[in-house]
Amino acid sequence: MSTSTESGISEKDPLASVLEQRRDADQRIVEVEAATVKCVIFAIDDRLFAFPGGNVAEILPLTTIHFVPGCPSSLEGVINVRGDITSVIRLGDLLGCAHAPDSRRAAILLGQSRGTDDVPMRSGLRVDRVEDVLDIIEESIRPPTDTLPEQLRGLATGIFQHHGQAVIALDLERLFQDYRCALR
Amino acid sequence: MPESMDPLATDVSGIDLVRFGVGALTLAVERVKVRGMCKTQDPFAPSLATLLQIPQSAAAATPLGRLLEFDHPEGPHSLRVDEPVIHWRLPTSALRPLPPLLAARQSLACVRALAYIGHPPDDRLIIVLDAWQLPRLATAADHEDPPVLD
Repeated sequence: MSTSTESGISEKDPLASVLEQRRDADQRIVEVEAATVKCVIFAIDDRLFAFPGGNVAEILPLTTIHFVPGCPSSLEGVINVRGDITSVIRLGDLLGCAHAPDSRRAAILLGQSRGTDDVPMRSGLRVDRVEDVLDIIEESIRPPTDTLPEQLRGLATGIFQHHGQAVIALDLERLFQDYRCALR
Repeated sequence: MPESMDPLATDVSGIDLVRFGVGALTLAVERVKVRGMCKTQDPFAPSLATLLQIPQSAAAATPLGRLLEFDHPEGPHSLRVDEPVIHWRLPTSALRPLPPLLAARQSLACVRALAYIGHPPDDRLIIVLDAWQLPRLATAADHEDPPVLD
């Protein structure tokens, strides 16, 4: 027969003792809720960018893009999204980055913004690949630096690290407004 | 000749269009704005592809052409298009306005609406033009010096 401690756990029952310690440890863990923001991280050539998740309605595989005459070269054409007709913009052209050659990883982000006068604006944005969709802790996002290329100034809302590589967070509302006004 | 569009056949309202090719593109204009059509063998007849500055890849040459006479406020425009030329009724439910960013950046006022027919991956884009908004054809008079007024 073994003796019992005050807590009722047998001194000769090491497993029960360990489990008891674990339970105590778990209770000491304090949950800290850090504010996060969902981001869609994507690449144009070898550079990483991100849009807020709320601005990306869908990620589509690269499909047939139909040319429409009279559009600037940065507006590649239109696609059929389940009966809706959506424009497709070559995002790299607006950011001053050359696109990589087409590959199976290329995708079209279906971007959406409130637009001016609360009229929603929607357009496809061609990217070379989608890296990840994840929650980023807001505190880890640093303000954009003054050394960013000119095309990115005013569009970049912050910079954060993803697998050791810098990711530039972009303002889609601003991008669409600038494009609509032919500022890009 | 009217072409059936089975998925949209129940739509009773529609718009009568004349549909034709320009290289790899399919364009259409309202039937009421087309005054006539004739065959042409003239490779130098003014073409809609040139007028709309459609790139060579999208405006690949085809052997057969038609001369369509479009109604226009400045007088009829006769322009070469590619066959087949089809009189066709598009259900209004298939007609879409230009997407907002495309509309904002569109340099050709004659590009008014879009429609997809068929189903992916065999769907086809129809670009609906307003013949009254077609750019004016450049004529020899455009290259002459303006008359000097005394």
